[in-house]
Amino acid sequence: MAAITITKNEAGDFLGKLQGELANPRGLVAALVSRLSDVLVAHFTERNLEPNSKGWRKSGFWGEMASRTSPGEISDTRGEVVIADYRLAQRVHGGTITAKEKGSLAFPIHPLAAGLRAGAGGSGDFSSFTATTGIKLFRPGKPGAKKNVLAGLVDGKLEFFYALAKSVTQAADPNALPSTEKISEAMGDETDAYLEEWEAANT
Amino acid sequence: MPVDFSQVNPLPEAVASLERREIAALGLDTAALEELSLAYRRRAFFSARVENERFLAIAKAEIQKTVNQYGINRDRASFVANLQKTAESLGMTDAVDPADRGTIRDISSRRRLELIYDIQTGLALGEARWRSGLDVDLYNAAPAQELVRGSLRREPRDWPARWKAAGGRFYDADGRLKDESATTGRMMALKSDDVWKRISRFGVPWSPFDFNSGMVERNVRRREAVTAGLVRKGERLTPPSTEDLDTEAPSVSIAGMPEETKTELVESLGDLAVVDSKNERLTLDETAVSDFMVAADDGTVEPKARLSLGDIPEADGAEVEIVARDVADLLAEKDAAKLEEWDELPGVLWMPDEVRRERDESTGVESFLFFARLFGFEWEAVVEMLEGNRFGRLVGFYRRMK
Repeated sequence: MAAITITKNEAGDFLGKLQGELANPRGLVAALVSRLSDVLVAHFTERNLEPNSKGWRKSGFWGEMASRTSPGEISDTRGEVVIADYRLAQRVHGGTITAKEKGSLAFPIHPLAAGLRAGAGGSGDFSSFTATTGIKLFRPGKPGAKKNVLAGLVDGKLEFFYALAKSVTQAADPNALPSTEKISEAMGDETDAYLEEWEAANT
Repeated sequence: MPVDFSQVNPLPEAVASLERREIAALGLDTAALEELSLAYRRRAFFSARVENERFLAIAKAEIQKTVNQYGINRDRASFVANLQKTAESLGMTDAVDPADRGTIRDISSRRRLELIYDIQTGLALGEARWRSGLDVDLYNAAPAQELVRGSLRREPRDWPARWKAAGGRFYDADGRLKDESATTGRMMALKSDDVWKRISRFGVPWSPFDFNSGMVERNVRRREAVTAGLVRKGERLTPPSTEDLDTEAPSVSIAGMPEETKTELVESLGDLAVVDSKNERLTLDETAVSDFMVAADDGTVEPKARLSLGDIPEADGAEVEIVARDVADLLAEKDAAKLEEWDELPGVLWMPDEVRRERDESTGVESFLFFARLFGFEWEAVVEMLEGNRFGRLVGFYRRMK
């Protein structure tokens, strides 16, 4: 879950003074919040339109981020944009995810497994993968075989669908959020637009 | 610009949007569902051909968790896994025609469950974004929106044609209005323009606009809206009212219904419903419903007077059983073929244990109990039904009965 706050400092000292003179300082804050929200939505939508790096079925993660982005609280001096999804923090900062005791994390390594749970997800032993594909998963047990995988038989042939691990460390995604430059440019442009309107309405 | 990841703050309007939706296990197919009014559908949580209330209740709870951001593993894959397991445990997978396995008609298929997830979360979040944009300052900062592609589709629908048919106008790349004869271009309009509701299968001005459409609305900044001629420079706009969305009464289509049935239905509802003969719709008069009911001191709701349908007594279980059996016999004589159809109806209506035993002998009991609820036995259920959620079912049953 992310809340990005804009304060009047963001607009600089000059605008801070100007803001004080505006009849409706909340209007400027709202315009900036609205624009920031739009910049974030456009960024997430753009990422959603990128093909999956492996050519697999897409999870729609970035589309969900776009749909969960909305202006939050706004006052005369500050406003916020909310991205109502806890998963974004992991993309922005990276970090280590560890399986519960005795459990393993399962990572799809086959296109058929993309977007399907091997057996976790609060479903106990139920496998969404098996329910969808009809393929039963098992850990290959023959000597020398890979054991940190879940495999299945497809037309009598062994195929690997998930890699298993106790934990995984994900690197931060530097493009999870738009660049500071892009945001600053948008804020400057929005301020100009707001002032043009303010001028038109007050002259 | 601080980015704070420490708060858990879901979008409140999205949470409220889902809370307003009541479970409606109508079991109707998509075409029949579309006969119900948009107002009714906006207040109901349903899925085509799903009659199992428990399944829908769990689906709704799971969707609420993802929108409320309650707990972890609340993504689409987890929703699919949890609902597949639910469908299996409720025996719903056994009822799937083998030819439909894995298709959109299979309630346990990934495609179907992903669709439910996308539509339900999408509509709730879309409503949250749209309503938050009605703040007067936010609205004036971005008073219009543009229909754009948010996700790629292999076979996209012809959205420009749909836009044009809905009365939408096209704009060039610089945001200038094109000639009225244009059939392509940027699709922009004020947020208050009804074109948004008209392009939506769901009758709402926010995305998703159709199943798997991939189309979303994008804010049009005020400066762009001025260039497009949608707003005058310096003009202060008033955001559109949400009154029609919030208060529109539920209605259902009665087109094609035999005159005799229409008359009977209208008479039985008395002042509680109004017939729109021109559009062949029956609209619930919610004021009449609330006038009809009075709140007791203990908070329960009771009728001021009973609807008139002869002298059905205030019955305990045994009396219900007797009357039900009579009605079942009557119905059995009337149309054996219809009774076969009713056999497929689920036991979703409340019934006393004594009567439940009767169910195996004749599903006409269910129909009777439906009307018994309406006309005298279970007033809380009647209120629930009349207040919206079950209104569609009333007419659905009536259709089946006739």
